[in-house]
Amino acid sequence: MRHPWRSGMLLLLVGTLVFLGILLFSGGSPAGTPAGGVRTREFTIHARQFAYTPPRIRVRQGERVVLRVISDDVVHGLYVDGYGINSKIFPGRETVISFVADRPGKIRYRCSVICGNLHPFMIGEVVVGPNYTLWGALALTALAAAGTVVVLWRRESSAGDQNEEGDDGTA
Amino acid sequence: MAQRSTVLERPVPRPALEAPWRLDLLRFRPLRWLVRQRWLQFALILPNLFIFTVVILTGFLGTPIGAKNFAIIFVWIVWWALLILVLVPFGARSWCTMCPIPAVGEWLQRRAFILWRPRTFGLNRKWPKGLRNLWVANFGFASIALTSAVLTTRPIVTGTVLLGLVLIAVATHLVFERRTFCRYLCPVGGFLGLYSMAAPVEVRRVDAEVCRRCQFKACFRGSSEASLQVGGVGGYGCPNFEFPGAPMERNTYCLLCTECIKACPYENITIRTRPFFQDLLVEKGRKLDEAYKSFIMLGAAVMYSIVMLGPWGRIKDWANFSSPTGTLLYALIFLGSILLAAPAIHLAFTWLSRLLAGAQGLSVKKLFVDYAYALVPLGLAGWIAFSFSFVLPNISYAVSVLSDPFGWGWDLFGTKGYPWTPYAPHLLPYIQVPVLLLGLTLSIRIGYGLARQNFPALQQARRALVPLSAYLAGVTALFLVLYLG
Amino acid sequence: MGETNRRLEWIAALLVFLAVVVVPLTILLYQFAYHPAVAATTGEITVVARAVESGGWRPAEIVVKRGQKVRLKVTSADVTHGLRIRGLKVESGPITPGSYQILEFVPQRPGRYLFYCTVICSPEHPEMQGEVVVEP
Repeated sequence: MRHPWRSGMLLLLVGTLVFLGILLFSGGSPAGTPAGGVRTREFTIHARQFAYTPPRIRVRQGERVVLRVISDDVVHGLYVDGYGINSKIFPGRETVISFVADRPGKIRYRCSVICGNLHPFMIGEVVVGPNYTLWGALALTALAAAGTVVVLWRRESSAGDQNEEGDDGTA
Repeated sequence: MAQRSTVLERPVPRPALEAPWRLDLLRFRPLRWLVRQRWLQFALILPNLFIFTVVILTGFLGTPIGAKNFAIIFVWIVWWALLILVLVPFGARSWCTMCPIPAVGEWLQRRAFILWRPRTFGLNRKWPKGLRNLWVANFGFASIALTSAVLTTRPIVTGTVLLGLVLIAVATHLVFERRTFCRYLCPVGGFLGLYSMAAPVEVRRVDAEVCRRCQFKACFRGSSEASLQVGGVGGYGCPNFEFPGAPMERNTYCLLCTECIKACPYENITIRTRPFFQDLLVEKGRKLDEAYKSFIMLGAAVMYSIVMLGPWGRIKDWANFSSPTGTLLYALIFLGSILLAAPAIHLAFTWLSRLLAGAQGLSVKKLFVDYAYALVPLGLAGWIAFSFSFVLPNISYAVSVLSDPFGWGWDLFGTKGYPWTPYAPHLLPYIQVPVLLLGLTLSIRIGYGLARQNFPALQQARRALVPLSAYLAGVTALFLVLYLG
Repeated sequence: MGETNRRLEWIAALLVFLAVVVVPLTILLYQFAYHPAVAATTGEITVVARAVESGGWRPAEIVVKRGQKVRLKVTSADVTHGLRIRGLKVESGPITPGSYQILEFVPQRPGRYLFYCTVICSPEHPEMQGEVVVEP
């Protein structure tokens, strides 16, 4: 009785690991890089209490992202998750930050200089497409849901078992 | 049935191990000794009372900079992380065991810190019958959750709210009986109760026959001269109005205070381990107020993921109460989502599930309430995933704040200079995706169990599961889009 | 047996008293009595910067004596500021919220010296000023 359930969970676990593995190793230059190097995308970002404008920018995997960041009010910071970039952003003065978007998915950057009460929630996003990370996760969700349903259906196809697994009833 | 002697044996012989996951923890002599000590709960509460005092002081007197204030960091990051990642999923309402908020009131009510006394003092009024539910706590939580952008970032607001809760708790203890505050008023208790149904520990009676023949019911009434002559070490009747001997079948209202274990003259109450999420399939006790708590929690997790974790400044300004119109708009959006939209979506899918099952005679309301319990694993997973997203980047503040809790320039332990260090924030998706998927799978599994309990025919339950799973998968997808997309 | 019980309650009461009364009182006495007294003898003055809209410099007027070493402990309570005292060649770098910077100097000439914020901190940033009064 437990076996179909266990194999279902195992399948899900394997699927998740495969997905995560793909994520981990999807770095590096993708096929189709234009000859002569990496394409560069430049954006001007305005930082203010407590958001960056534009809040989300979209780039393609492999492109070099150049952010020209300027503060509209007080001193802010910009820390890019996973890239070890941490710069101060001054009012009236542009700071240039550059990195290569080598993985698909969402790169978050956050303020790194206390700038007021909502400072910990001052977050901006760079969405690197095609967003295989999201599609993979959504596919896994559908798989998990459908798989669980099928396993649950199969479990009671033979016996007319009334009890939910594990629910032996307490004393 | 075999004949038994008229005198009930004590202590009750414990049955052998039932299943690998079910272990009677009180078979271990040191643990059995420990839970019978009256000073146990006091010893757990005292350090938290001290920390709580520091929180109130730093909240009111310390720096207004949240990230440099002990109150903000140690309540909304450290305590919260401990609560949602460890204490609740693994220890049920174990926080309630050591919570300092009702402590002072309870000591005043009992006129004792540790000892058992036959009488409690205070007015001992009964809580009004119409309020003996979670509605006050639900609205309390919703109101507090509405202010969370300001509450979790401004020390003085944290100080005020926590002090307010203590004062209400003290007043409640002096006027009403037992832990009326914890059961019917505490905003945290509402969700702790709901999610504690997932935990792998429980306090339950051992032998049903012993309880049936017991004349004292000390687990509910408290010890008495007569019960002490038979056994037990003197315990108050369950402070949270539960009746372990009845039996108590869910963790929802058990504070793990061990009073019942101390009071029972037959040592017939024990602490056991068990598989996760067992209580969700217990039919007794399911009510609309608990169901609503489920929507409020899930809705709040989604809203916070949008407002706090998202990049959109306008709604953050509204949440920050920076203008009257913004505040009103945010209140409408936030409260509307968790109190109206979430239940409405749930109702729609409940109705669809019943339609597909072809069971028009079934009560939608009962199915609506029952299905709410299927949201618990996913809701807990959503909260865990969301919590990681602000804990990992910000918990490093705890190191410097420990040396300078008030932000006055102290350096108690030499760690004041520890810089803000986000811990592997780019690894967040690797944590969030598995957690959410696990929550989804378990929610569907529980949902099926709930469907089987409601629909008489197997085929109906199978069909009913489809819309339910689609709904749960949809909610999961929403989280994933917010976190990854 | 009643004796041990009473003792237990007294110990509990003592511990609660320590946790809720004694430690907080000690903290408050230290910060609001002992520390200011010590600071006064060493000539240390704590200056807290806030945006003008939230109160500006506190204190906005600093009174010192000619020839005596002045030790300013400057911090910010909201956003990043900076401090410069005109005429005394005293300047801090950017002062990030919560951090403390020490500025030491010995004023030689009596008079009034303007100090102001050097990092844009709010719309009214240019008004963020104070005065150091050096007495003879």
